[in-house]
Amino acid sequence: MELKPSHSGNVQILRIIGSFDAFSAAPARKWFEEATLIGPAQIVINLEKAHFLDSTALSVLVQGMKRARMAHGDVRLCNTQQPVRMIFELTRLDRVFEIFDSEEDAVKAFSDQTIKVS
Amino acid sequence: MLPELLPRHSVLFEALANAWLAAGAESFSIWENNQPLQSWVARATDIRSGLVCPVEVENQVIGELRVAMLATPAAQMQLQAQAQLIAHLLPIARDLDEVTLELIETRDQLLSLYHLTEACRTCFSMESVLHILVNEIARMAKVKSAVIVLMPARTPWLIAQEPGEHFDQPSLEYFVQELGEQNYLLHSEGDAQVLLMPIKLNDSLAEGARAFLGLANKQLGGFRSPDIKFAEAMAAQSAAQIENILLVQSQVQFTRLQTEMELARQVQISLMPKELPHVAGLKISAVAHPAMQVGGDFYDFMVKPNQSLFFIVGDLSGKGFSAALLMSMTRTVLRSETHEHSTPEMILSDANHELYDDLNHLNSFATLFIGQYTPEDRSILFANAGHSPVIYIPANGPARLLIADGTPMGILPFMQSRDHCLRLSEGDVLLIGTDGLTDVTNPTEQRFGYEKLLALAESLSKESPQQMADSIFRELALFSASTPPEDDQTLVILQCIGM
Repeated sequence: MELKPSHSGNVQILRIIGSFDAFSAAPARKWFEEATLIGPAQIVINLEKAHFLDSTALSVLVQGMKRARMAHGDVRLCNTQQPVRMIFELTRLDRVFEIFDSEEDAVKAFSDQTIKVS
Repeated sequence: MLPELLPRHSVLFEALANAWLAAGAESFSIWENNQPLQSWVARATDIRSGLVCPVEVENQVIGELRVAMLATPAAQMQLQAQAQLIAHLLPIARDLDEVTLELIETRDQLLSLYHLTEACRTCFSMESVLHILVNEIARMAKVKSAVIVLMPARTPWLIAQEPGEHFDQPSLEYFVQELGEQNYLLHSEGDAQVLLMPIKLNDSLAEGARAFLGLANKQLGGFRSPDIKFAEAMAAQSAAQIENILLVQSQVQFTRLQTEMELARQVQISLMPKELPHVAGLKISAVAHPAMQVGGDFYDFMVKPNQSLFFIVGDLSGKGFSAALLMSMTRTVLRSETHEHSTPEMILSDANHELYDDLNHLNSFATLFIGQYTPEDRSILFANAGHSPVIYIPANGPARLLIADGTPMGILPFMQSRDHCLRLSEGDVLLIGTDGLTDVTNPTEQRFGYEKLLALAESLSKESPQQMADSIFRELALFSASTPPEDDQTLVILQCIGM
């Protein structure tokens, strides 16, 4: 698995490439810990090139989401491919995460929200 | 040069002197800087008189041979020949002495290396090995102080120095910075001189750790080329010893993990029901294959006094001992929350109430399927908290996935999963597995997936539950082509039969 961090404005973006599982979860967990240190932790996880997630990977995302929400932000997902989308549907984690079709939409949702709040 | 030579070759000079005295000389003497070094006298005479022959080495007069006797040309020639012979032998003797000294030193160093290796062999702590190394290196290099600094990537530095506290942490930090990527560093400050040499560690063992050797103030003179070569050899020797310890430590860690995994497997296996329940109208099979990397799969059966059967299949996220412990905790809470008049939805909700804080704190969650079979009406009331695969295969219809309506337990402080009812007919099959089944990979890293499992389950639904489970695991083994499973595989199958 490879992690490619970037950002768009205040939104931190992480592209996850390859198989995201128990054996590769540690660097992603560490990234979330750092990304949620300062609020608002607005995070977009791009899963376009993630072809598999296991339960450990899901727990890393859930943990990241909880930390982000505590830091007045959120974790949003985008570009989930069919097998990965299915994992979210079967575990019903699609009810916990907002999943967007594109990275742009996911990033934009944060700015829309900011405007709404202000 | 002559003073060193005389005592070591006294027998030869004695023989030379005796020959002269026998030939009638009054004395034979050896001189340096107009001072007699040694003389052999036959009778009282002035040893300064008579024949004199200089001993010249590399065009420099380093001494004289003197014979007190009649100065005949033959005697003069003989004395000259002896002086030349001695002059020729002197450098050879000097070289031989040097070579002998070097050999003795090399032998000492080899012996020290042997002792060093022997001492390190019986020592398994990094601190002790570093101390043994610096002790021997300081002694062999004849320096006032030697230091080895091991700089792990994530833990504090280990500093071993001998003797005493010659180096302090700030000066060591300064030296590390100065040394950089150089092969060695010679740092002089007044009379003090420090030689620094990197200890190059194997990347795969070192995990980012760096190390260096420092030698301070050679006892005789400054550090020269042979000292640098020696320090290089010592740094290589230190690297080998440090790597040995790192290897032993990683082996110990690996063995500890293996033991932990085995313990986790035993916990997991011991918590599974020993016997399958006997319930009217159902045939049941339950199989659990814990993976090497133990996960948190479990299943459980409880038959209540009213003969209703509760069955639970769960999967705790994460792996290892912590997942096994969480699994045992979850199973215990579910057991205590399962009462005769509970429904699966109520059990899930109560268990989440009990476990949410712990699961949340430990960053874990549990997917759970809870079913309640009532023999009277052959119904199954179930609630599914993010668990899959759950496959329902009607006797006369295609297999279909029963997808959860709520998130796993531990994600949210409340449960979304509701009770749903299945009315079974004879031949209907309900299969509850864990993601370890669908996540099985083959050597080309393809996963078995849901579609294959659905099709396979449908094709086997006329078999008994045990035969179905055997066939499914056989197919998974064929698909994986001996690729070891990464996750636990659990499969519970219920088949409705005639009463």
